[in-house]
Amino acid sequence: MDYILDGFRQALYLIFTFDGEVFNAVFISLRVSFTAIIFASIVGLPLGFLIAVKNFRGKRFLVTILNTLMALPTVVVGLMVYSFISRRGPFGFMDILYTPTAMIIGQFILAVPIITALTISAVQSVDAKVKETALTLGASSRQAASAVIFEAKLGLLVAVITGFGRIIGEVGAAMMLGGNIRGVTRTISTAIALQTSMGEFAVGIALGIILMLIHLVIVALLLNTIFPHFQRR
Amino acid sequence: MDSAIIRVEKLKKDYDGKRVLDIPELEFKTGSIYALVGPNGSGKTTLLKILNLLEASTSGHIYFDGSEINPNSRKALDIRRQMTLVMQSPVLFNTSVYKNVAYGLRVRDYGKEQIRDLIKNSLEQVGLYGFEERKARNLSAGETQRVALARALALEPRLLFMDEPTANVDRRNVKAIESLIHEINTQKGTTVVFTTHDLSQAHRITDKIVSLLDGKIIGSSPENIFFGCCKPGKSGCIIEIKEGIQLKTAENKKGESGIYINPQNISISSKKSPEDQNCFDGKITSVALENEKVRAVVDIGIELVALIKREEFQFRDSDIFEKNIYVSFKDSDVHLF
Repeated sequence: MDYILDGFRQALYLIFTFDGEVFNAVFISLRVSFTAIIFASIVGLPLGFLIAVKNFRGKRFLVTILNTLMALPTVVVGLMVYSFISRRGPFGFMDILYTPTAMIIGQFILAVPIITALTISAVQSVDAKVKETALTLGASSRQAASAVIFEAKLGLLVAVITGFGRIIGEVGAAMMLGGNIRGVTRTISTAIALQTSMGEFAVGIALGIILMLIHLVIVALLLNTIFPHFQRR
Repeated sequence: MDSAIIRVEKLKKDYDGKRVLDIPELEFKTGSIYALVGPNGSGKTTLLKILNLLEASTSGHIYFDGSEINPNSRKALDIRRQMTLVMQSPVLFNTSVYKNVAYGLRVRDYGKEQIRDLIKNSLEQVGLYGFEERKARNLSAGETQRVALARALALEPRLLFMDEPTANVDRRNVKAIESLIHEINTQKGTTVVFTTHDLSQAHRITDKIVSLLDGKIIGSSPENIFFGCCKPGKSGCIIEIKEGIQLKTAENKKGESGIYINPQNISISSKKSPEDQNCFDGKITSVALENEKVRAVVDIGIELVALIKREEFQFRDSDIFEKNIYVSFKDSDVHLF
């Protein structure tokens, strides 16, 4: 049990001494995951909204597929993207394997189904009368759609946070696509995997605590700044 | 002004193959108040939504200010912005009262100053001035209804549709909303079309009553509706609606049918009327004054409602409910549906 306590102690030490390697991994993690979540939100939010409001053949099937993809194993995504961007793959010429770009693509694929599926559920939970009310008040179709999005805003924010939570801590795709190269593609989660495999449990735990703290700070920031702002509007 | 602000022709609406509206012709004149009455499921709300261009009809034509509306044209939005609908159970947006009332003005690109003035006036009209910063979703049902009304009034529409405006409102506020309907009609010239179950309310507010039954317009009031079996008579047919009560009609039909008699076509007298084909004796059970007319309910074995001009109503004694009287109406006034 000592190594757990030791891990806490070391975590505090690494944080307060601004350990270069740790902060580099933190920086890479945030850069990769923020970029991936921005692109995933650009695709997932409108896609989820359209699926929620439009009626088309195969809609239920599509929603089922999206819900299934929410549990997509990260190594499967890693493998899939790997097969496309490896030297022998169709996009091998782009030479992006073992780069942050490859990791962003993998995390983007992981986050899109989560954001899309949660957006569908958030938009569908908005009272159908909201759109009708906006129309009675003279809104155009586009303005009425905005009214629905405004009502679903908290659900949409939750969708993005959940997607971010999924990718910031994932290992499989980051490891396979990034290669865990120190200072380039080593994220907190891949560093934890490496340290643990080397028997450095305390460092692993320290990094784990830092990862949790990052997520805590992000969620706390959102809860205390954006959420209340949304609720006031 | 006597022109129709909105008019429909050959309007039909089907849901899952079932016809829910079938209106050959209906118009609402500019600057008037109309009550749309009828039982649940008679098509009142569907008609309001079609008129407000929220729902498309299956077939038919809608004219606004004499021009036919093409629901897919850019002009349809301009027309929709000249009218509004206050729903029976209105939904307020999850924001402040101020922003709820401002919504319709903002989508019309009104200036901030103008928006502030219009919101102030409309909230004052519904008695909710000072509620601007309240969270709309925390209001009571009555307050919600009034904010929805303020939201509509702020738009100063030419045509205001209201679906059961007093359904969720306590008795004290019913009077206030009824007065408000009159106020906006007289002060702004707004044409108001509202639905209600409460016939006395309809009569209190207006004498322009449109009745719907099973999606069809049946006349001025949904009272005096009966069902019976039609048998052929000398001319037209005879319908027995209760043992001993047979009505004569000029229309022809066989088998079960609905029957409707317009209350305004029924007369009450102390003597038998030889001219009318339908004449029954009975007793008056209630009398009320509505819009310069006397609304009398007469028990002839079934309850018949008669709407009679005040000056033509002869019974003014205190023993009004004791006397035997006669109700009569022509066979041509008994309609089958």
